[in-house]
Amino acid sequence: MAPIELHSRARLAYELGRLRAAAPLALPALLVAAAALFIGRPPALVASVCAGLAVLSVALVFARSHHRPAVRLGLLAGVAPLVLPFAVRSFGHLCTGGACMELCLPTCLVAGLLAGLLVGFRAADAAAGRLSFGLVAALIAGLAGALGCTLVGSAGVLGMIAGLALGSAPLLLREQLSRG
Amino acid sequence: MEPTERRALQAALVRLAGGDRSAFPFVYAALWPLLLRFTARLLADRAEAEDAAQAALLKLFERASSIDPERDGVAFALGIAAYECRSIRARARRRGAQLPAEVLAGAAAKTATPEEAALAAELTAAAEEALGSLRPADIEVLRAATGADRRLPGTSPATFRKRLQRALERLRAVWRTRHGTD
Repeated sequence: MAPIELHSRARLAYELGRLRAAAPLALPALLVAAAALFIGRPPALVASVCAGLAVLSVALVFARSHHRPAVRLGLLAGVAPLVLPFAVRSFGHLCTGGACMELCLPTCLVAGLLAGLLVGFRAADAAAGRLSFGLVAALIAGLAGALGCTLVGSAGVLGMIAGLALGSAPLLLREQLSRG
Repeated sequence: MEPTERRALQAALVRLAGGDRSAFPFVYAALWPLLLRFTARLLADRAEAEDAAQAALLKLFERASSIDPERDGVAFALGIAAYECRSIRARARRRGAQLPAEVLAGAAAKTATPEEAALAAELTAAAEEALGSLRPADIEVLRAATGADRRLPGTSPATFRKRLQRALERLRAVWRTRHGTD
């Protein structure tokens, strides 16, 4: 084998090896898809969001291995906004006296907040690259959780994003400032 | 391989394992001649040695993501190369290929395999290199310790033991610095 060919094959082997190592991170997107279909989300929406989630998860870890824990954390944090709105909606409305209140929208905000706090605390513990860790985890959590909050419409998704930002941003900013 | 080169290669392998593509050219340039030299020691046939080194290099890059930063990446690479050499020799045996005369002679005399001999030679060279970096007084004490009467002329047994202990500690420190292990 000529040196140039060996160099190219070595590079290809390296990239394929990385892709193979990152590929299993596409599987959680299937679980998210199954959960989203179970709670009655439209298949086309589920397919597009979960395909994006799978591609993004694999691509991030393929690019840099240190994104792996952030992607895992994001997938874990996304469970709350994915599941909680459906669970709360199953219980119906909260009625006190003569007034009834729909809890789905606040649930998305609270679920996003929970996910954001989890991301923020774990990112603050990360050994290095806390900001990128937090951003990656928040992005993955947002994508995974968005499907659950679409039950409430775009307001639900926006509420979840707001909660996610509110939960994670202060911790990440504090870490950045304390390091700076 | 010089300890500084080895440390630089280890650092580049760790960066590559993390996905830093800029480390690739350095790792490739450092590993290819190293693997080729290693396989050439284990396999008598030059073409087979090159095949083994190429296969080892490709496998190493394929598994680069799984390199543990806490472990010696060079040893990992040489382990893959040794495995490739064993595979090539096994294939040659299955094909009934003629083994080189010195390998047959070695097998007939029940001596070490070429691979074991090469590893032993490499270990001896590393030990000599580590010994060579000690102070002359330490070398003298270590030489006396391997002698028949195990004593240094003009010193009491207690002093000799103390000097021997210190010389061994310094030797261990040198070995650890160069090879990262006791």
